[in-house]
Amino acid sequence: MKFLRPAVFLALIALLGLAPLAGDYTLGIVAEILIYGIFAMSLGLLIGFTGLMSFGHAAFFGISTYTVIALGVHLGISGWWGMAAGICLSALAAAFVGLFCIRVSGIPFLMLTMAFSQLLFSVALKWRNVTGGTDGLTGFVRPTLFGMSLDDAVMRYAVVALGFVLVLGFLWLLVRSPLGSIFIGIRDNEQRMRAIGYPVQRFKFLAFTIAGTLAGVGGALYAFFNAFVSTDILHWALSGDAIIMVVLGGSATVFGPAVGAAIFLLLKNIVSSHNEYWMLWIGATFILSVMFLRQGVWGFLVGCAQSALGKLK
Amino acid sequence: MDFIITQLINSLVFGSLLFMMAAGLSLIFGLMNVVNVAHGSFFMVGAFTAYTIMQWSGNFWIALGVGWVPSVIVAVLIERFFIKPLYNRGHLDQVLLTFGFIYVLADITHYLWGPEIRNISPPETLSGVIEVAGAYIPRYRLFLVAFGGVVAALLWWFLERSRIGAMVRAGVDDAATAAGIGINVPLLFGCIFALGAGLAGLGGVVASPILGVYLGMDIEILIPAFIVVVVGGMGSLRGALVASILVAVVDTFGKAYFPDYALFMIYLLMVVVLLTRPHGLFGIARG
Amino acid sequence: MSNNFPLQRSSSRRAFIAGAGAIGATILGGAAPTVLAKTTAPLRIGVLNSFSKVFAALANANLNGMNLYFEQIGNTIAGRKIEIIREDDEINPQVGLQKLRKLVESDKCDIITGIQASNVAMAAVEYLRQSKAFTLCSGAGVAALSYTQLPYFFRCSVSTFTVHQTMGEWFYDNVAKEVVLSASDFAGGRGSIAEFKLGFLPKGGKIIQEIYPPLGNNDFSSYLALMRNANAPATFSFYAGTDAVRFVKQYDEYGLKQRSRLTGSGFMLDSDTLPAQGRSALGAINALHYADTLDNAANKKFVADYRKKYNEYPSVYSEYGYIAAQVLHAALQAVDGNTEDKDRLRAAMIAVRLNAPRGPFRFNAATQSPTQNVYIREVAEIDGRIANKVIHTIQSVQEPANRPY
Repeated sequence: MKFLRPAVFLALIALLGLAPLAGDYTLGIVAEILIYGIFAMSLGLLIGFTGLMSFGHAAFFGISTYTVIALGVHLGISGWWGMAAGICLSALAAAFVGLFCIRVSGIPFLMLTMAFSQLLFSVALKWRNVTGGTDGLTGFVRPTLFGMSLDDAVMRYAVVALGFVLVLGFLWLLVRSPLGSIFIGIRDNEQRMRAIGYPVQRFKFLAFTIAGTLAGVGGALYAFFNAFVSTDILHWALSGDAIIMVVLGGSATVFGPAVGAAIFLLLKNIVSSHNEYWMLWIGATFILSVMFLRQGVWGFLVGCAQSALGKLK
Repeated sequence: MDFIITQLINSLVFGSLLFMMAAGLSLIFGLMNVVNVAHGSFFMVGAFTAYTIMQWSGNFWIALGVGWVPSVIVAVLIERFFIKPLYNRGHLDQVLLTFGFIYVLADITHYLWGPEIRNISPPETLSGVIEVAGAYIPRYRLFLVAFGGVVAALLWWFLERSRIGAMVRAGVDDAATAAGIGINVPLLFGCIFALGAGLAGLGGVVASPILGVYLGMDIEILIPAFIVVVVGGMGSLRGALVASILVAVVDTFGKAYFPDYALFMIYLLMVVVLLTRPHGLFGIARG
Repeated sequence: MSNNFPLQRSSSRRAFIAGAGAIGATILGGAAPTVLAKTTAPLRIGVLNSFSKVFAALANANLNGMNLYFEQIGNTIAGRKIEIIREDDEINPQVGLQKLRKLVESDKCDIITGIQASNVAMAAVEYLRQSKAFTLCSGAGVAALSYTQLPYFFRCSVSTFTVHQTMGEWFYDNVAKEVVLSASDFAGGRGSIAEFKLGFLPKGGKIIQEIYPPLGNNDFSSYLALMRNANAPATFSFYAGTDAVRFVKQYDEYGLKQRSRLTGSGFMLDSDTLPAQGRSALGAINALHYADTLDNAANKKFVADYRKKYNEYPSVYSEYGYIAAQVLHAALQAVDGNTEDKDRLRAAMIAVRLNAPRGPFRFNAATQSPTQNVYIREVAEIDGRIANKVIHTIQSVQEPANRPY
């Protein structure tokens, strides 16, 4: 049992390392899955580990993307500085929004996060000089790393994969840390945590901010990936997609949401190449998952592995 | 001053539209504690059904009388086979479930009716403009105000005065005791869900001459409906009524006097209300 | 990057003819074909358009028009069988880029066409600059696409600048000297109004008010009240899709048509919205580069064939697809199906001259966008159908070589 986790981790690294062999196009798909994986995992921290269902997470993803692209297009600032700025801005935004949102919970929390996200969306729509409005911003020049431009698909993929592994590692360590246990405690029984004397609000705020910051990492990588941004990235539909990814993959593990992201994107791409009714398939899969596979695909697999290994003992 | 009167009347009219959109949503949450995010989908099904009925018969009143039926049928099926098994799972799971149904119902509608923009014209008796206090208001919109008022009155009577309404309120307050005195709570809840969906479908029929009939209307009305329900308070009919007018006023005057900020104003309203009164202006705190 | 090596499946006879042709051409001092053996590999055309969501009807019409023409030429150009691969961009530039990469890199398409949504088109420009994929945009009308300086990017639909600026000039002479302008508050809406102003203002026109409702606006009552107050002899507006339907209907509902003449962009009053707008659109004056009632031989044939095959009238979007197919046929025929030599194909495209359903068509060599007629139209009831009748034609409108705004 003990060797299982490192084995899975090594398998993941091996797969990531082999991906460039599949050709530029497939590499692009994998990179996109990894980016959305980061986004979904960051939301997983909120939904799965702290019990906060946010419907406005796209805001923190999109703010970062906009920062990177806008700084590059309007001020010529390098993508790396842009990324730093983007992640900081996402963190600040998450802190600001979190400050207000954690005062409520349950359905009001859902609505409030969505309202803030829509507020940001409206600002982006209006502030055409900066954001380019619905047409978005083009002309972003990707930065270089060790002399190689990120225009090269393999280089770009390497950066994205590295980001993914770092975020995964960070989250894994986080949930195993004392802080992580507090988050889980809040999810399980907020009243009890309060009774014991934990300043629950402060920790919820922390979780919200961390989740937003990680979403910002994903957003910055997305800016490198597409070299383009438009207001669609702040729309609540993206937040909804993220929730689907988390639930599909499984909210109880750190890695689950990333699996959900992969399933979602692959399903969507394959179906939409055949006919335009991909929403039906995504919706049906999601409904069945909520009803019968509530722990998500990855959660289910982990559960199977654990019980199988349990029998071996 | 003329202009203000015009905009006030416009607000009242738009508010009636919002009320028709939001009433069903508020009802379902208030009485069942279920957030039906597929509410917009029932609304859309009602609009498309009305379109088909108009194509067959050309009679708007038939569409009004029957257009809400498919929405109810779909709702009953969803409630019986998908939501009921999840009653003990918690509200968030029900949100997720109905969220999945948005996708499914959207594509089914696309498949059945195709992607073109459709339209319904109000009946001859209700077309044309009337001058009211210096403002020019289309007759159909005044009809909408009256219709909304009638629906609100009927709902109030049903909930506050009828026996069924009393059973519903009992079932919501304490399901175990209600069941103990012989109320079939699951059946009741099923009926409430159907009623809420029927209201949404009816809203779709009656709003379609103004909004149009098109794919994507499910998502488009969801936001205003949620804003109204959140501001008014989930489950409060009075709240839905007041909030509809309030949101309509903010929106109408916002567009007229602060056109650059028109979009933000209703979201700002939602944020302010949620922060100061998380359960809405008239809502009751639920555990 | 596209790695597009043609499959050498040519027969020996073709190789001989091609080889002989090459020698002959060299002897005659003409340009020798760069590929000696002609390819008969399928001609892969990638159609990227918005097949789901609000533009679905437009995208379907576009593909229908294209298929109609290709069927009429036996689905083959220069011996190459046509293979159409379609992808849905969901009007989302992020998705559009993903699908574009698939079409170019994975499906190895020879030509990309479609792209109705201007936000998708703008996002695609940078990718196309890098990948050098040969693109014939048959949808988006945003003026900026004429000034991308991309050698392998052509547009056969329309540049809205030509339509709206021409309308602005004609409006001053024939409708009114004062106007209230309105449009949805997004890039396309604001752009259309700016273009109208560039034709209207230099002639001395006066703008009484400009109104910009948000995109997706349900209820125009407060804006219509503003318009009523402004009391202009006429209004000029641009809205798309469901906004267009609601605006025109509510404009009529509120009795504004009698007080201020309703005019607008042709895109607001065409076959995708007219059925829903119905009688409320009657009498509206608008401008577009096409009308299904055009009285020329090519259009008569196009409309008749389209109705026969699809059981409905073609729209301006169907005509986009049709003309894209015509252009590809003409250009590819001229280079004998060679999609490898992009510069040669480019020259052939620029040389295309067509009598299209919309009238005479050719590309402006500087912008690689169309030079074509602009028609002033009026919505009327024709043979029991609400359609546009042409009341004036402005011939061969050429767009400026540099960005006008």
